[in-house]
Amino acid sequence: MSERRAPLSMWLTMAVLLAFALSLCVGPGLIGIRGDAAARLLIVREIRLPRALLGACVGAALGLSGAALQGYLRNALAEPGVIGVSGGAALGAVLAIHLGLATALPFALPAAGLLGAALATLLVVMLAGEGTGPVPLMLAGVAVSALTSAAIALALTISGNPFAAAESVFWMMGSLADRSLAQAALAIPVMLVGMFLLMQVARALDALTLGDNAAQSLGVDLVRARRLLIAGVALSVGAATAVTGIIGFVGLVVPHLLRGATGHQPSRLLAASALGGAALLLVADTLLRLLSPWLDIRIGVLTALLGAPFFVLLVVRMRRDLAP
Amino acid sequence: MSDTTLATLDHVSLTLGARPVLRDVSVRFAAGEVVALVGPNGAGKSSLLKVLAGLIVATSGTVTSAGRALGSLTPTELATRHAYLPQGRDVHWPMSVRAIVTLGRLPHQLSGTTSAVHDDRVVDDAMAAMDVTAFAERPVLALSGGEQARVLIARALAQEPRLLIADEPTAGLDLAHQLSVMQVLRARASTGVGSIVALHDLSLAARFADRLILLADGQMVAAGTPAEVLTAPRIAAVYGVEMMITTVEGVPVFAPLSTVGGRTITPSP
Repeated sequence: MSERRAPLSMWLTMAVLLAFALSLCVGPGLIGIRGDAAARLLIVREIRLPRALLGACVGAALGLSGAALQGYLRNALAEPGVIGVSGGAALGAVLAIHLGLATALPFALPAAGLLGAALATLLVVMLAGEGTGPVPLMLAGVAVSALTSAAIALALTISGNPFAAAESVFWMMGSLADRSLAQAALAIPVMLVGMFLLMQVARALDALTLGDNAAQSLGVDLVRARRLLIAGVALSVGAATAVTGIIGFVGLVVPHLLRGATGHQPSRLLAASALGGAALLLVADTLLRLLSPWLDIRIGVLTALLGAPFFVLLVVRMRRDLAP
Repeated sequence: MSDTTLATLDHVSLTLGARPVLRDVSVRFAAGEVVALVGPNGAGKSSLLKVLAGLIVATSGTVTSAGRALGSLTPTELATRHAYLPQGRDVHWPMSVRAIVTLGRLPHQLSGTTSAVHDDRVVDDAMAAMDVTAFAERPVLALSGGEQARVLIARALAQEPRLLIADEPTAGLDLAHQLSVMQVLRARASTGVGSIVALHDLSLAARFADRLILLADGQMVAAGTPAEVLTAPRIAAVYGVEMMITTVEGVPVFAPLSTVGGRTITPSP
């Protein structure tokens, strides 16, 4: 087992480093930067560095959260949005845009997103209760997500401001573009804390493979594991969504792509999905920048376009394996 | 109380919702003893085992492990003493058999009292004991139901418990493996491991257990040696079944003949 573990994490780490370097080097439509040394430094530091840092961290947060949630809920279709975090962040951001806070104060938009994520998570936790299995948590998440979607739709329709509506829709599609180093510095520590919490549930997720009772009898504190999981997802995905908007598919597809290579062991899937998520988002964002002079495509759309073929391949393979 | 006591239930009662599930049950489990827990469906067998495993807190009464109240032990401490094998055989991901069995080492890994070398050896032994070594690298979900059940028993053995709590470990196993499970428990008993096993097969219980506990309606109806507990009148009263009890070469054999006052099951010629 261990001789397989080393190469996988090594390959994934190399992929992330390569994607990160590529993200620093590639601009719209061309490779490299024209202009003098000072201009190059300015562009790399002020535009590309925050973008690459955010891409890596947001991708890692989404991949890791997806893997942890799939492990805890024992449901391969779980993704970070399933416990209401991204819906809450979206509602907070949309309200900030419509109330004019986003234009009045520079940090109002991410702060409102983070606050929305926190409130939605609290609501989900209150609805689902503690010490209950995965099903109430999932149902509460679905209920709160439905509520936030409805509230967003309401805000978009009753608002008389078409610019705010357009901005909200664009925000919800997600983007890594034009984020400042200050915004990255605000969000990244929160994401790192969340990811640290998620890594603490690794062994608990392994034990949960055998069901709640067996996991508990193996010494796993289920209440603690659940608190760590929810707090970890809320912090990492909440902060990610607050700064970049909703980026779908990464949290769902990355754990799937890597599950076979990690022997389907939930604990091993965590770090692999974090690295895989970072690499996928960095590559997607770089590709998007290359295409941007000809095609204005949003990051969420591109991750879906990149991820869907892999997913199709996975389904085809699964069908072949399950065929009678 | 002698120092071979692994665990005790003292006047334990359990009420789930409004339903009394266990009523005033007192039992002592000793090292090196195989105890069979028998009784009809809904008698409270699974609940008793869950209380002993620390999964359900008794409504009243005390539960101890090695002289300490269960509530005063950390989950990891308890898990290094008691292994619990649930009745339901949940495995959610197609992990390899070896990875599943290795999960039994978790409490020892969490408490830092084991080494990788020792873990590997214990896992190998447990897989060999349950005859699953041949499948070690195969995904557990690709195995048959009975093979999966054996993998999960191996997982509990790998936990190196002092007390093994197993809820119907022989259900769904072929005859040879039913016997081998009980033989493994006996072999572990000779090294001092105690086990408490819920069983439906009275012949298996009578043959392999040192002691039987008969549970009905949450109450302990009888406890003692198989011969003391499993008398025809008592089985008729508790199970509602006329039982033929005989011995074949010194091994007790139980064959249900008919339900009491119900239709007769005619044995085929």
